[in-house]
Amino acid sequence: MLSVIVFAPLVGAIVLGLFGRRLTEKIIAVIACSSVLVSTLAAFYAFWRLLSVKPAEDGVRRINETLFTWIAAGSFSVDFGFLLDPLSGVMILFVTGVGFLIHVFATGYMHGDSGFYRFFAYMNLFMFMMLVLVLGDNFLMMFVGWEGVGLCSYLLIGYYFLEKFAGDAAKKAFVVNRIGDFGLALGVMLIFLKFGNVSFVDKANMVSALSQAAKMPVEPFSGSILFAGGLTTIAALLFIGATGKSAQIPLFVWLPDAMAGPTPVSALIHAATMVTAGVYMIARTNAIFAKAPLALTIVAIVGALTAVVAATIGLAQWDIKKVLAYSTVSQLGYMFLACGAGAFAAGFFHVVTHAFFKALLFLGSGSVIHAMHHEQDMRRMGGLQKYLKTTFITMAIGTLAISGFPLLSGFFSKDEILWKVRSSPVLPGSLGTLLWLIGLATAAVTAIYMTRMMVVTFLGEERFRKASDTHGEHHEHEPHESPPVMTVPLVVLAFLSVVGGFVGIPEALAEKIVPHSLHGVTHSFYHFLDPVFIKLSTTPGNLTGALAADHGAELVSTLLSTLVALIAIGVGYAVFSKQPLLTMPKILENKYYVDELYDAVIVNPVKWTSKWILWKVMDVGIVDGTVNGLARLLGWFSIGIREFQVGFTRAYAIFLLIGALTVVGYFLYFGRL
Amino acid sequence: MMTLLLQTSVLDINYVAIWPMIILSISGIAVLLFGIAKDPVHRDMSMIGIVGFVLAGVATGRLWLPVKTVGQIRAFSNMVIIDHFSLYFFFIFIIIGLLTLLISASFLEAERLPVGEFYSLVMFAVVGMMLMAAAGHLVMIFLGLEIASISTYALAGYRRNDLRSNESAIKYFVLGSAATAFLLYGMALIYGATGSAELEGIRTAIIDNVNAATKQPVHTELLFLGAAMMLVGFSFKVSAVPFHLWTPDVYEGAPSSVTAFMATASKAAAFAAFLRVFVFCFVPGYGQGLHSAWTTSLETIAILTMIAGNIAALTQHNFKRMLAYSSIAHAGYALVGLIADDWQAVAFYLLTYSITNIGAFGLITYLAGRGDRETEIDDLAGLGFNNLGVSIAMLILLLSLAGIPLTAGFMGKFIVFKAAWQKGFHVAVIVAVVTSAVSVYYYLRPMVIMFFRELKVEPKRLPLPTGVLVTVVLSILGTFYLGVMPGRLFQAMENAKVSFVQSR
Amino acid sequence: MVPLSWYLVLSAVLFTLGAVGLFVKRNIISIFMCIELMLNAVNLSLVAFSSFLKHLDGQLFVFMVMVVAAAEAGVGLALIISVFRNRESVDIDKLNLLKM
Repeated sequence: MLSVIVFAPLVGAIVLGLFGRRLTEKIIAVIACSSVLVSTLAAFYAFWRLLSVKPAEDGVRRINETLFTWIAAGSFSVDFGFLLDPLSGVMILFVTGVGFLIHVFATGYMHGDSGFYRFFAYMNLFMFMMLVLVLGDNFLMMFVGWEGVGLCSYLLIGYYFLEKFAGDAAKKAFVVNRIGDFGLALGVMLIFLKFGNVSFVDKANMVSALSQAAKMPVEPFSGSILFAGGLTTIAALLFIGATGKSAQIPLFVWLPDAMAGPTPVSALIHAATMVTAGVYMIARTNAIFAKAPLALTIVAIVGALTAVVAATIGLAQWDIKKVLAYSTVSQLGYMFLACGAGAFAAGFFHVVTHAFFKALLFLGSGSVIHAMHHEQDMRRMGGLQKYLKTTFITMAIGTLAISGFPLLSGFFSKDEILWKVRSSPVLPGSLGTLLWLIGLATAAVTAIYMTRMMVVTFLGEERFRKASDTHGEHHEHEPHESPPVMTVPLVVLAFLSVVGGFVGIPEALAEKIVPHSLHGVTHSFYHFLDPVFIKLSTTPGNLTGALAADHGAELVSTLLSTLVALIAIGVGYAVFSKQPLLTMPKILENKYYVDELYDAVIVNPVKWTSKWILWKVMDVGIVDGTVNGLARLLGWFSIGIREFQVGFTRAYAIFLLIGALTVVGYFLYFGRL
Repeated sequence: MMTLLLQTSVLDINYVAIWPMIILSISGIAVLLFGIAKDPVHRDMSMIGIVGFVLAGVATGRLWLPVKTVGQIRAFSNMVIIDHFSLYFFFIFIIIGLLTLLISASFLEAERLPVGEFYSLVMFAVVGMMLMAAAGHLVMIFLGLEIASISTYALAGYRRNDLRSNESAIKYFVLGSAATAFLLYGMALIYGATGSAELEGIRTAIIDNVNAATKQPVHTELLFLGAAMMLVGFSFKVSAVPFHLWTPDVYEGAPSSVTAFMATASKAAAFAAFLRVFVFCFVPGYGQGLHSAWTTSLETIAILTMIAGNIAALTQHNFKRMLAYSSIAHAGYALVGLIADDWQAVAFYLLTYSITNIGAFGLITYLAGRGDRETEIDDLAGLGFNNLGVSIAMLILLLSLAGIPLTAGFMGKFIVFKAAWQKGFHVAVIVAVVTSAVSVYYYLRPMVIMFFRELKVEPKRLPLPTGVLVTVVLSILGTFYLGVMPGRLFQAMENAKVSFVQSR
Repeated sequence: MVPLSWYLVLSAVLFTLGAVGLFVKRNIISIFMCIELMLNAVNLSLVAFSSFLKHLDGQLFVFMVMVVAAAEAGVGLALIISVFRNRESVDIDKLNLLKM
């Protein structure tokens, strides 16, 4: 059953890869979508089956499916097997579901593209790899999927291979990801050395690495433990892997460039699924992270910093997809912040809700780009709501959801994260409070830039006409709403973005707003996932953990974040909708003054910093510089080594003799000893 | 003196043990004679070659079970030892030899080169390699090595009128012969030091510290000197740094199918003999630290080899040369298994590497086109659109060479690294892991060019020859089989009886 | 009787001469003769050991080396002829197409 979920997209990929060239667009679309649909239905069926499985001793429901023994060398053996438990169950539901919607959308978006079959072959292959990653029952399988999704992402970013930037972006993504993968590989190796296997679940005569880790004592909170080769080291290495795939500081630079790929790719791979693999991995290995408070703290700090840095950068972007890209980075930061605070379930809940609203926003932007004939610059948009009604409304819902508008999905998940950080039992001292403040600030910035994006794109003056005039080329048609294959997925995703949060309403809030009889539903997400995560112990010196049970304080926090979101949305609207000055000249002066003030005091400095310091210096200067510098250094070495290759046989003979003399000398010296 | 003479007159002839070699020699001669005949038909000659290899494979297979029951078959006064070690390598050589025939058929036809000589040279080379793997005596190693090498020298210069092919052959010939001289000198010194030229005799002499002929202690300095010289010779043959300089030049100049043969079979044969002598004879704990001397020096050599091979490949623009550097790097990985004293790991690694590489070179023989000239990586531009099947095949094979999971390359590396790590060669393993991470970069560059670069001129490519197609399909199937389900082979190898090892 | 070490030293000297000749000589035929010199230096060692150890394997070895050297000469000279045909020269330094 699990094999069907995984292998259905592979069948699609193979069929398309081999015969796609000869098929018509329609048939390709049917094959691509139906293979994912089969997978989706199987996933829902498997999930339903999982609900009726009797929990194992540790309280976790599991369905295990072993296809065959992959490696058996001596005592070491790895199965080619799949594992369905609440964690992977939830993950496959939205991976297949959102994946299916995006496939449907893409059949409209890619209509008429010369590489139609190639695109869907890659997309199906990606689905296969992603499902291997999620369902693999050991680290090696996960690693296979991890590398596989990376490869597909690489192929798809570079899909528009004729454009130089697409190739460059693909290369950058690949190089940066290799750095992360290297950490992951080392981490897995260390796990194997320490536990003797790399399995997630206990098997006959084998206690899995994770169960062994769960029984180990918590490691102390000290700097030296980071290099001691224990659980903290493993956790840190795994996290390096996660920073690569999930675009965290310092490896986030590839994700914005990855927007060079077609928009459905950005939605599927670079927003909803692949980039959350890092969070999934940390949740999966929570048994290791829970024993390593130092690693958790690092995760939390990196997550919080990424969230705020990426959000501020997002303020200064003009490319609609870049805004969403930085937003993704920022939201991923939130998820890591939650994991670092020990709230794996909250972080994972945000993965799910984020998949809904971010896929929605990306597909919406795709619809806009489609309508604007592949124009991505928001300065040449404006006033589009007239033409793209469905897109506008659905995207507005997505924007409200991500901004934390009350009762939408993002509100519940983000609120839970903020509260869990505030009351974290693992972060040292009052760090929880500090990170909470950063999270709150980020929430405000998020609401501002999302509102800005909506306002600049959909409201105000229709700047695209002017833009096309200055370019000397006219759009022959008005911007047009996308066909139903594209808008229907938007509507479905919008619906999910609205209701998706209702399965995970925080308890304190649920008591106030939900009838008691429904509490089973409104908290079902957490109840369902709870057994997967092992109990955390309080780190010595922690000051925030005591708050956890205080429902009053939680409600205050909720109120605060709601206010922040609403005010930020209002501010964003106020600031950006007044930019096109010509409309209301009378009231302009006063408002202009406010705008100027905002500009001078808040927007410009933030813009300036984000543009010049954060983006130009950090992103382009330091990080790119390091990567390029390393490549250049290796290039020199390479040419240096090849310099020996002079081409003269006699020179080679000399080297042969010198080498021989060295070896002989070494042996004789050794023999004398 | 008389008794010794008498002993050698007891010839211990056992044709059954050497059936594979006999079959290949006969079919090699048959192809050669057939080639002289008037108007030889290519297809017939290919048939003889293929049948010869298949029969040799069958003969090898039929030896497997008897060897399993008796442990090993010795023949010709211990000159030949047939055990699972040799049989395993026989299989590698036979598969590679067969695939080499398949990928060269169309090339020979297009270039109007004589087919009979080519096939027979390949077959004789394979016989030589088999002798190396099955050698029980230094002289057999030497003979096998020379049979294989001399055939390969001729193969490298097979395009007689091509300057590059000439140059490649001469370089290979001069340097290869010099290295053989070193190897031979080493053999002579070891013979003098231990009083025996039989591998088992050398091993016993070193363990007992008694010269087999004079009954005095083994002469340490001669022994070390001999071991060092042999190490130089073998390192040259496997193209380890600093004895690798010939490799890129020779590989680039030789016809692509010959390069394929050299990069896979020749290398595997050299490793087989290397293992026979160093792992089975120079065992740990005896010979005044001979074992630690050769492992430490080889560890350094392996590290240098992995670094130099991988890094030099980074900036290489010629596909064949890049694969030459890559083959240097792969020799480094196999050496990591060698220093871990683990013949199974090395043998498995060589199998995975050979299976993958022969497919990659098969594609190169096809892509290089007429005159074997279009071997620049840039020549691949746009292939992903021109010919998706070929480029995906190439992609899979390159990914396997890079060691991406689910492919044979990953499994081979995994086994070798695990063995070496357990034996405590941590530095070597770390270098190996880092360099294989680096290697992904250059293996994927052809892919970037294939998929992300516009084609400049529409190349006039012929349809894929059947031989190349079969080779590539087999190679890819093997790559996935070994990468996904290597369990049975592992089991077979773990149960393999190699008495040298067991009696240690 | 001449002690073993004298033979060994002579053999080593001859081997070294051959090895040095590899990069001193530019004529491919001379280089080829240097290789022969190296092989024969080893032959001397083998014969000396064989006599010293009173063990016949060494002499067997020498015969095999001679046979092989003859085969090598056959292939080697053929290669040299083919180079000469194409380039009208047997200067090994002119073979410098393949590099880097």
